[in-house]
Amino acid sequence: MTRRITRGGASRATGLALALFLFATGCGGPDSLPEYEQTAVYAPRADPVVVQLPPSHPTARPAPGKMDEFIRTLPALGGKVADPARLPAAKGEQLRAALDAVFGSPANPTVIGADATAVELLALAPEALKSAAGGFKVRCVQCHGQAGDGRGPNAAFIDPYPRDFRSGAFKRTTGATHNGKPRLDDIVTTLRGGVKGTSMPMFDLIPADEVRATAGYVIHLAIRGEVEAEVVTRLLSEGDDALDDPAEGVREAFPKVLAAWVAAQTPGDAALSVEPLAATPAAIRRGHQLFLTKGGCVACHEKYGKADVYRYDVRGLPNRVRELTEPEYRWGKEPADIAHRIRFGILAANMPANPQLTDAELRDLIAFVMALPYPAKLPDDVRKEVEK
Amino acid sequence: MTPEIPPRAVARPVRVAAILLALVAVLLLTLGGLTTSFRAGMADPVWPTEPWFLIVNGHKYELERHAGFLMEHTHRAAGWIVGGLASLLAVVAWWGATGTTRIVGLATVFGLLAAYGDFHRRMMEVWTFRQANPGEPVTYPLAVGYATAAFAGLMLLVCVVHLLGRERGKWVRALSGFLLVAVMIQGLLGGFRVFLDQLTGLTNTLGVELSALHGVFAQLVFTTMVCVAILAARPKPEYDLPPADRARLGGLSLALVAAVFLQLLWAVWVRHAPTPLAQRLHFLTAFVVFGLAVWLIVRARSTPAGRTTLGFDVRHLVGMLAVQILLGVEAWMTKFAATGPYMALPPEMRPITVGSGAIRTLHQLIGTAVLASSVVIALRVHRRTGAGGMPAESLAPVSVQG
Repeated sequence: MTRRITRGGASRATGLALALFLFATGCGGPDSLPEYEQTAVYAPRADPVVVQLPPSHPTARPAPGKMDEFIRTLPALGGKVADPARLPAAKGEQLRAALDAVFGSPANPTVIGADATAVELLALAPEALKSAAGGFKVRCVQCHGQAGDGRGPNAAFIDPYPRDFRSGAFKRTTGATHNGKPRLDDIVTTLRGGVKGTSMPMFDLIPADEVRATAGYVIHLAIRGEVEAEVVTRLLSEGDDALDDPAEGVREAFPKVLAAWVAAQTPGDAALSVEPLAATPAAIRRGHQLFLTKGGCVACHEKYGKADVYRYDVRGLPNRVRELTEPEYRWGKEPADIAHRIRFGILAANMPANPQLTDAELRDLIAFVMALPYPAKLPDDVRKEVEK
Repeated sequence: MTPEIPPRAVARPVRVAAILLALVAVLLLTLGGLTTSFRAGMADPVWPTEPWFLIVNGHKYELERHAGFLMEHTHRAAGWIVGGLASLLAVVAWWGATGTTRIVGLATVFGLLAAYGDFHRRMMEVWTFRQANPGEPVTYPLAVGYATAAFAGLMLLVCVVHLLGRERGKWVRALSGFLLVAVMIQGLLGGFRVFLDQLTGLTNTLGVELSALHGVFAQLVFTTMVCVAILAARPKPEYDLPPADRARLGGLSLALVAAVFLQLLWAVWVRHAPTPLAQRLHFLTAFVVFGLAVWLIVRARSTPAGRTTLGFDVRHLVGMLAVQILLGVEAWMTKFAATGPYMALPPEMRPITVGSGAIRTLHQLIGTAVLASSVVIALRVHRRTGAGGMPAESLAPVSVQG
């Protein structure tokens, strides 16, 4: 006898399945924070480390999925790279073990050897790192990758490229050392507010301590990546700094990198106050002249950024120079934000600093830059120049 | 004597709108599938955006450079078009009602649309505020949200009450009302998946993967669209199954729909959180679906009426299942098998290639098509056209009128 399948039975089975689905995908209550598998490991670096940029400027920007291919062409253009693929397998394995001994694994991240000051300043306490790693896995990995290499699963399909933490150079930096490394607060600010005009979202609705812990985990990945890059470079070097023992390389590189990060945590130059900013026609005219002469801006921002000009960033990838006639600034459009970028440059993008400008000149230059996107704010003679 | 063909349950424009809606929804599902396959759901973290965002800004983005952004925004654009067509369908469907029903139905549809539009506008203001004041307390447009929810509830109530009546075409009208609400919910799920992405997976907040719910709900919405398109068609008495066939196939056809939907639940789970349990369930349910489908096909083809009424549908189902199995194997291989340095990474963290993303998307799309096909079969099995339920094999060829 054939048993009939009833409508009620089918509905009940579907309902049960839906409940199981919701439970399994996250409705399981307060214990559902994702964590890395205990067996997870940081993948060894596979992409080349840029040791020296080519002497000439790039003329185009590769598609996001072609980043590594592009970097491998740099030697042909006069640059220099250290390709981890050339490392003997045994050396690669020793390096991985040495790095793991200091930095642990994704499930149990550590920074063994960091003193109490560094742990406090950089939020590197193991419990906080472990908790943040789970959040990073859910919210950040798809773009930034497990090792913070900016090569997550979808990185090949988004532009601007996600940040590669391993260079240790970030764009928002307000520390006193101006070494390209951000303060912990800078990373928190970026996480809180996102980066306008990019795929970097805001994380403004999650608790402040979780954001801070995530910033600490970003620093953990950055330090690890920097140490790895330096050791790979030295293992492949044939110069005076050549190295044979990866563990020794990690022992030497780690304190230096950590010290640089700690130093970067000192708040930046308080004298960089640009208020009140007088955006008078005379100030804008003076700023325009500074843009063309002493400021040196026009060397890269040709036609006020309207020209397709590219410059290498620290990763060896071409960046299009900022279009200044559009009112979009990814890192803030307040006078103080722009002042900081002009005065101290953007090391991550290889934008030079301008220590030669006086405070008054800086204010004039800011007045011009802030008026640039709005033709009505420019004096007639300056507007004609800009619109040429 | 030529049997009389029953008149349409609803006007022809309703059928046209329903078909158009289902076709655009296929495009929407494809773009949604690509967005998930290429992990582009957060390529643009800004939501809400205007419906014409891509028209105004699209020229800035090259496919090679901004593929993720374009996938996500074309998905949003297709969503807007589907929303517009669902609104149009509801309006033309309720326009066909009579007397007070028409007035109440249309008033509710327009009220719902106005409230939803205002909610969307105010959410854009919220986003602008958030971006300018990160971390500051946000005032959400709760009053408008409640008003929208109230109109949605009223729409559902009107539809249920309408179903209790005896007016011709009530199912199409009611389903078009349900569909409008469902499309709006689906749009909000997609939007809030972006807006609240940061809360996903946290210990003390959202907890549910909104993107996964968005994927599951999409299947239900599309299934409803298919139902409306089928029910809005002119009834064909020759497609009425004899009661004996209906009894033999009725439960089985519903079981197939349930199994396919279940399978799609596991599929969404595998796509968004590929746990071992999700994979096991997806594999095992594939056998169940295949078994039920074969059982149904054999039964359907065992009688002349079954062959006449369901012949094309079951052949179509067999073909898609065959393709789906091949795609499933390939999709699993591209997602879970790895060589070289990627072996050190879990599957969800490996780079996605164009080929693997395309295969996964196609697998998802065919899965949805299998669900739609099984729903069509179930509808054909259960539907009575009102021509007296004459055995199909006893009917002479039908003369086509108008």
